[in-house]
Amino acid sequence: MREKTGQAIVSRGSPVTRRAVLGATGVAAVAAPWVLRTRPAAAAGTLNITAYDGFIPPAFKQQFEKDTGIEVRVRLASSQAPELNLLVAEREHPLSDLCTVTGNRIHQFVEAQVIEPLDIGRLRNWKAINPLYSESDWIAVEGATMAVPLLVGAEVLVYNTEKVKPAPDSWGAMFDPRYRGKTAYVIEDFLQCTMLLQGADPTFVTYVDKPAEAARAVNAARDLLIENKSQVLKFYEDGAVLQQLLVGGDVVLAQAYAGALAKLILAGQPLRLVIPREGATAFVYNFAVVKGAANRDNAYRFLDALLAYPDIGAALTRSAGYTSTFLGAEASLNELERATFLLTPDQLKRLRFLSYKGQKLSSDLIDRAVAEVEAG
Amino acid sequence: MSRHRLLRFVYWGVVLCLFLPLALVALASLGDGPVVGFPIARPTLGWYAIALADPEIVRAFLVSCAAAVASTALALAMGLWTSLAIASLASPALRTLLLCGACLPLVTPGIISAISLRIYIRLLGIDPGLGAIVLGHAIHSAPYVVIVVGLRLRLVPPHLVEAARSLGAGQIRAFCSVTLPWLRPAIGAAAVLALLESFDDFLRSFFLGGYRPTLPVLIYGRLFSGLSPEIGAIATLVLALTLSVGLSGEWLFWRTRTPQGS
Amino acid sequence: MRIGHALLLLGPVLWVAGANLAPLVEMARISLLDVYPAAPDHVPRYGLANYALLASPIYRGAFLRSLGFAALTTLLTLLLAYPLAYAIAFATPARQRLRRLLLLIAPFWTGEIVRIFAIMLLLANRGAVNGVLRWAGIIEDPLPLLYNPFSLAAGMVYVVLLAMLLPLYAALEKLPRDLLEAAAGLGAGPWTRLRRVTLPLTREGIAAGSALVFLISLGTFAVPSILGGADTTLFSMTIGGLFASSAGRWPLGAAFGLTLLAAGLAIAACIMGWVDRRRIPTT
Repeated sequence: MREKTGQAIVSRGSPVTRRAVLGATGVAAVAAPWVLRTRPAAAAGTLNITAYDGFIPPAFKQQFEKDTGIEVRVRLASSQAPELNLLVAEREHPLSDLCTVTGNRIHQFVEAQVIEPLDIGRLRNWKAINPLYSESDWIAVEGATMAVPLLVGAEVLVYNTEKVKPAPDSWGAMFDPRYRGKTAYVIEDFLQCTMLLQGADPTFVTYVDKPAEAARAVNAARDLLIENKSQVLKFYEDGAVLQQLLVGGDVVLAQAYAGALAKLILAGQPLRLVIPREGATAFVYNFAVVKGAANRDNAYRFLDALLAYPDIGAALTRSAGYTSTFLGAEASLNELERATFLLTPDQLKRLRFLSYKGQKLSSDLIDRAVAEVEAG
Repeated sequence: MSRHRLLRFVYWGVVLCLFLPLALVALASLGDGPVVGFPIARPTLGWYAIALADPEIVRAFLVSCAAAVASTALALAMGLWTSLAIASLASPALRTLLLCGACLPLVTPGIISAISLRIYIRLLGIDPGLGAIVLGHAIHSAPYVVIVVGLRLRLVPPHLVEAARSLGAGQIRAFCSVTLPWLRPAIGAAAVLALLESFDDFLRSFFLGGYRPTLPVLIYGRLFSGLSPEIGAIATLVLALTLSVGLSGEWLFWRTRTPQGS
Repeated sequence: MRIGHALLLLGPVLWVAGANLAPLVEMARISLLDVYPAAPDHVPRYGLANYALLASPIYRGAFLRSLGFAALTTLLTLLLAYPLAYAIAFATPARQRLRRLLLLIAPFWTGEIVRIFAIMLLLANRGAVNGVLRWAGIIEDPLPLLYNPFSLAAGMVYVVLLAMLLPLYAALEKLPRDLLEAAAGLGAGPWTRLRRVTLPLTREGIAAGSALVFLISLGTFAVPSILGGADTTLFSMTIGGLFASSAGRWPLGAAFGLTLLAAGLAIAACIMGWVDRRRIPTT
């Protein structure tokens, strides 16, 4: 018969059981943080930002806090996916006022209703941004700009100068059998690069009313990737992993974001970035106002101050590692920084900016293709 | 005994394998470049200085510790309670049912658990922050306790408990003097697992936390800029701290024992 | 007595219902939707379509691979952890045991992410292992040790070892030594003692550790994502990808997640039931 070892019932003046002590400790431990409760998000004089590391230059943040007395609290995200999931999960009661949104994912943020259109009238220094970016429609939904563009990221071809000769200048190099098993890419992004190689439109803007054509283009890219799967050592997602792939010598040729590599190149690694002759996709990194933000006024004060901060373009480039969108930012950077971080006008010409317009169509097609490449 | 020698060889071999990768991280934390990698031209301790001086890192470490201790206490309490409850049920069907219910968080994929908890705490009216993190970690760790302690509970020698009872001990005395000591190694094992799970946890802490992150959340956020030697420095510091706390605790433990104690 | 029993059950039942089940209800609801999160003007449609997608070849492979991989990891970890636990429990003087345990536990405090990157430093083409082998002249070209099933398995075992070791040690430590002495006295050799006495009596430790390791491996995301190769996509990564890829795919992710949950629960119940069925009478 099963022993009822568990029935610890009070009969006579029972000693305090260890379990009771544990239980009480547990309860007290849980209650304690509520006694010292975190400040509610909407306290006056607070600003909550969910941002990527390096997107707020420390000097600027200190200055802003000193000038306005507003406490700027930052929550770090390192990619759009968890950030989006988090914002969606707290949609009805958002915990941040500003967030980092990238131009290639802006469609998801808009569809999920987590960001709101910008009120440009409240940003007196809007003109500090290069009109090429500020007046573009890449991040505009029906004419309303959804975010403040700060940095430009491009998808580039990176190669090890000692192992890859001659210097490649086409996405086709990734399919060169000489580098079999020594390449890496992000499937989602590389699908679009392959589309460029095959002469299709990776921004999907020209396919907006022609879904069949879009599907054909995506499938052609997908098939090429599946066929050449043996070329790939690894599908990666994070810049940190790519850095180790390159530094560890396992990969000599890869598709990458420029920013993650800038530090490696500055440190003297034998790597070089190339924007292939077929072109490359690019997008802007932005700050958007979270829908239903509790401290909207503080958010706009922050953005305004950011746009007015002297040399903000250079500061952003140094701390985040990407080209900035600000006019005249190049002037404050030195030779080495310019060579490492900035895109030359020639390179800028070959960029195809991903835009909100094409993303509704591309999302589904690309997702499916990614799953098929992974499985195939 | 050669068998024992072989076993000891296995033990030290495994210890070496466990520490070797971390030794590499410690070595890499001396690097002078912005990214972890070899070879290192000019070793420097600068990253350690930066890590120790960074208030965000120290704060995140303390938050992680607080969350770990609190959530482990809660998980031990609820897990032990649940194990006892399961053991007290007579019908195997009911036992399996309660066991499955208790183990749900362990089988739930992390991202699903994290997101659903985030949505759920709002229903409960709890704000994201340390309290929510403690709850989330405890929910995740309690099944560890249930499994490790629960299985051991089944094999409490019934004759010992009966003997204690026949000598006049009440239910609770019997529990404290026979069952609990029997369970002690399992509780200890479960506690260590729970502490580590909590300290290490990223997904739940990311979704349930507010603006005071735990250490893994902070590190992960900084990974965007790449794996800098600073992160290696933090890891090495944590390892050194754990070893010294653990070993000095163990030394104290033996100091206070009577010579015959074992 | 009845009240006492009811009280004993009350806490756990409330906890299970309120803390374990309730959060999943919303996920289950989402798994039945067609799109989530949806635009406000979207009319939600409920159905089981998402669950049916598991049968499609794209996803089926990853699901089966995950199950197989979790089983392999459990086996490997058991094979490694058992001698290790035995070494500490039996081949170590009593005073040293705690210290030796601590030495094993300490590395786990540095965090999963750091330890995964540490493995990269060890196994990369320019990593420590290849470096030493090349310096010693044993090999010319670096061995491909990383981003394949080998590094995946090694990484997994590295990360879950403690979850198997600790329950095993807890079981071994309290093994009645006099039973082993009696068996030896009856003429049983060391392997016979292991097979007929030690292993059966530590059954519950083996089951506990195996259940834990299996479930952890099934749900793990970081190790396969970072240390895996192009052919080792696991189901947990698929699920993560569905939550990551685009708005509106949460339902499929939720459906897959709940399926994985059910599979894990079934297997855990089997492992635990295996212990229940054949109880060894203790004297």
